[in-house]
Amino acid sequence: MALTRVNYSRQGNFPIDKLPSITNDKLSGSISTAKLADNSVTTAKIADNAVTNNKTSTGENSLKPVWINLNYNAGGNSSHTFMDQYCTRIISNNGNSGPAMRGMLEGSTGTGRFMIKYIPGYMWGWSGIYMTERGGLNVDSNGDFVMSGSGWWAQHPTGKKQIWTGNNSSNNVRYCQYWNGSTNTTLLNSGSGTNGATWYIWRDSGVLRLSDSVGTTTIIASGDTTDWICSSSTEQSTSSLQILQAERITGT
Amino acid sequence: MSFDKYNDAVIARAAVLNGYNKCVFKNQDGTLNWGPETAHPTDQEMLDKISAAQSAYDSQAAGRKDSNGALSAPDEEE
Repeated sequence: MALTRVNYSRQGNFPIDKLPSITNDKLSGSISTAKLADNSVTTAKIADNAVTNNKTSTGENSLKPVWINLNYNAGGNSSHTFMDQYCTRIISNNGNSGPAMRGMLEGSTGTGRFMIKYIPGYMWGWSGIYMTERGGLNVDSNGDFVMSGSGWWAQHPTGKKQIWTGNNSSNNVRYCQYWNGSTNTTLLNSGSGTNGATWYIWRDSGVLRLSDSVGTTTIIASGDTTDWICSSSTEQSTSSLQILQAERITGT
Repeated sequence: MSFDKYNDAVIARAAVLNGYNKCVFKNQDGTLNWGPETAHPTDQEMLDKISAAQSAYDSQAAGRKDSNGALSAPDEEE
């Protein structure tokens, strides 16, 4: 019987899916970074969102009391100084609705327990915190928060939840609104505003609450697992917000 | 009604010219947000004062190095 010569050099005879016998453990050490040309693996070759939050470390995403992604508003610019108290406080004192700035806390709340502790200003403009469901703020095609133009801020994003806590001296009230993705509800509207008091927002067992030092308001009564992005409500001069603590609570 | 084309500080000044000294700001859709207040100037009353408010803003801004025309803006440091 005549033997048939098989030409293994032709790619078509050797499709990758016919080679299950070559596995990572059989290639031990054979592919090293030294064998990869400089710049052969570039970010352009990694699909957007191929590296997800779930595949990065918890620490990278955890909520931190650090202001990032600063956005100027109403003529604010780098000539102004909008941070003090060792950069824990965002403050604008540039007249009524004069130049101001908003910021975002680094990380997010995750889906479990968290706590934010802060002091809203007692000034003419609103001072407080916004919390927006992940996906509700403006991002670019890479999923990064938009910094140019009108920036990352979005008020009442369709289909995404948003919470606003505010305090001021001109209305002289403590205020909280909850946007459920389609409708807005005022949960707190009580006088008077607080001057220097510490406020808390926290979630435990799916219940989301606000303490304004006078009383406690239940924002979401049960089942909340929203991954919240926290930002300052300081886009309006005069206002301030000092962050004292912000954390995902993993212990008891 | 959208107030998008007006500066936030001009809007605050127009409110004051209507006798309203509390906080007001623009929503992202350009409408005015009066917070919890139910008694406040109407959109038309705001428009009626917007020209005077703009003039006051421009006049103050022209006299400052930082061009800040906002009401109650603190004095500039020498």
